[in-house]
Amino acid sequence: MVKNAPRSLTLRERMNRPNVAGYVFILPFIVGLLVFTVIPFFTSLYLAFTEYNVLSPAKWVGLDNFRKMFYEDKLFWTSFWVTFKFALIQVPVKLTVSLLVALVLSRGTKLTSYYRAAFYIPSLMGSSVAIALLWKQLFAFNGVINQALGMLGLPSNQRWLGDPKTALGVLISLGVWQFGSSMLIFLAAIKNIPASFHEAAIVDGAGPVRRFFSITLPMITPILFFNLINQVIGSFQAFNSSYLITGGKPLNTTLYYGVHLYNRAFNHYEMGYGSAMAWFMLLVIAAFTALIFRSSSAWVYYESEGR
Amino acid sequence: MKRFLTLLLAALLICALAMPMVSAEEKTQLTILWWGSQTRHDLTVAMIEKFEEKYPEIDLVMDYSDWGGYWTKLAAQVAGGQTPDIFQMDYAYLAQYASNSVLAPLDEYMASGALDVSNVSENIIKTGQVKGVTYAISTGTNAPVMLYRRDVLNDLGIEIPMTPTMTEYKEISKKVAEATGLRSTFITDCSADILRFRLRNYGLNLYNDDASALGFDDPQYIVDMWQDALDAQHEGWGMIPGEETAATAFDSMVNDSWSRYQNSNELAAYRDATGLDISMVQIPNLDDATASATYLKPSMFWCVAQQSEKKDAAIKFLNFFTNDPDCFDIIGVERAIPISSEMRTHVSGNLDEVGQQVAAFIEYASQPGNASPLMNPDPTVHSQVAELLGQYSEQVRYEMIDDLLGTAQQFIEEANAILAAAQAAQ
Repeated sequence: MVKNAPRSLTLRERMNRPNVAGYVFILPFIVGLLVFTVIPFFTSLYLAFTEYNVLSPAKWVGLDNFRKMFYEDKLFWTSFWVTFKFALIQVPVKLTVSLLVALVLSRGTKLTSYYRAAFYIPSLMGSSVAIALLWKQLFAFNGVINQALGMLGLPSNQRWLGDPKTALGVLISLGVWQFGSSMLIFLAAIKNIPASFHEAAIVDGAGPVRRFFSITLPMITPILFFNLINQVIGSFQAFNSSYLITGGKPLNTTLYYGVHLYNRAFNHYEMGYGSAMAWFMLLVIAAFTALIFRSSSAWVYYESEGR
Repeated sequence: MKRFLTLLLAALLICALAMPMVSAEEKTQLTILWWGSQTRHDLTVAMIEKFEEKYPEIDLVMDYSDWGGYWTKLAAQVAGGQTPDIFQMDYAYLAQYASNSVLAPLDEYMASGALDVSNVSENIIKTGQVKGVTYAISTGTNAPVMLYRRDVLNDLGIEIPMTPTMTEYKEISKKVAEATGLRSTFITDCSADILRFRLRNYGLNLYNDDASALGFDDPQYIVDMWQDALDAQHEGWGMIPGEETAATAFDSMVNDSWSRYQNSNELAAYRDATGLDISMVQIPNLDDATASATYLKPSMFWCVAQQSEKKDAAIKFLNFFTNDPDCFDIIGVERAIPISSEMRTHVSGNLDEVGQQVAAFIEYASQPGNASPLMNPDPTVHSQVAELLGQYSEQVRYEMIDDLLGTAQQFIEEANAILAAAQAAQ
């Protein structure tokens, strides 16, 4: 036998190479990713150029779906602007609220852990059907909110969910109510700021507001960036609250893009059109994400990069 | 040792997987899907268990859903190649599913007697036909009705006739609203179904014969409907948009309104769900009507999947449902009045008070003059036309539109365009 001559590996030796065990363990996840995400992803790209009513095979129609979307579907632009408005209002409000609450909780009193849990629970349950129905009853014409207002002597006959001016606000409030998860992340980031910074600033005579804007805020910008991107993507994909609470009414003021897509795809049996709408939204979200990434070099401060 | 254990476990696994396949050979397994309320689910499960007793070689795997999610579920199953062997079908969707070759034709089974329709009238069999081929068998006959709160009317000492005119309906609504605050959602509905009733009063239909255009061209019909709704809202007895508080259709009869348009076979479900004394009369006819708005229609159908490999067994179930007295002992008239004259006779002896009321109502509606002929099945794009009307109606109800006539005209043009495009695509 010649030593050190190259020969092919046996199966056992192949299986025992360093990374193979790792791959085998993540194989279930990879299979799931392929079957439930990657393959449908590319199938929908194909379907976006077809007419597909689910009961019969898809028929190629080229760019017809996109033409219909942009030029013929009145509700398409309506739903797009509603979703945009929803994201525009909800994201800053939610981020501000979570940051403020995180600041307060960062003081660390005895009850902090209870408050943390209490604020976090809504974000766990918030997108469930039960909470949506609860919200619907709360803001109903004779629901808890109106009755409480009545007891306080304030006007109590507002049609929260029936008035085109307030319906979207109700849904935004449901989103903002779920600020808990971003708050926890902010809390962790604030706690990570070295105390020495604040001590040095206090020695120099800086008040709490000045310290917030000059120390806390810059130090948490990476987390702010992370939360901002997450919230923006999530807001554009919103569906549950509108579908369960208002169904897009009144007068389409709560017609999310996702709900309109669902209507066209599942109620009108136009899966091709729905796929086209989905891909357009993908591009829009990608554009916004890219925009935020681009701007990040101007306002996000990474300690490690020592800018 | 380790090797031996591994091999043993592998062998056990293979046996466990193979076992079900061996035992399944002996029984034919069919999947069945239906929609309904809890009342219907309970009755249907009991009925299926009876069927399995009588036909022990058939095993039915049951699945059910509510009305809202049913069509998404069925479409998804069809798309995935998992069409249930037996499933419920509605008149509104029959043409669409038949034209997409999802449904198995039943004519050969009816001819051979496997599906015994000797006691079923030709008219009823025709309702399950698309282009002359029978794709579905009706489960029972029902009619659209106006459900109303009999307890409320009794308290106020008001009588409502079996065939109310619109004027009579409005008078009663006003009194009820004044006394109890319960308003009418029927008059403010303004959906495609309500428009259809009004058109039928004049002998017209929502769509023309081949569904290539609307069945009417005068926008005044729509304007009248909108005007009635607006007047009701202004006078305080019609539901103002946004003030509905009900989470479900059943709730709406408890808190929001005293009357509601539904199908006759739903009476039992509404009474059970709300616990109130609800009864029914015919849909109000317009004062200057020349024909009745009411029609007799199949409440729903049973269908067999075209791709099913066990059609013979499935037909046995359809036959059981149509002709077997044991089935109706359990189901009664929950899926509406049986189509076989034998079964109708059998059932009328066993009905409870509510069932008798429904049966009597259908008898009454079957008398000449109390109903007019059933319209053709709706085209596939009906959902788009209905949504379009719903959009305009909502704007009208929120009083965002001054020019009712112009808007109605616009709706007619756009609806005709949708129908023409669908016709051309076929």
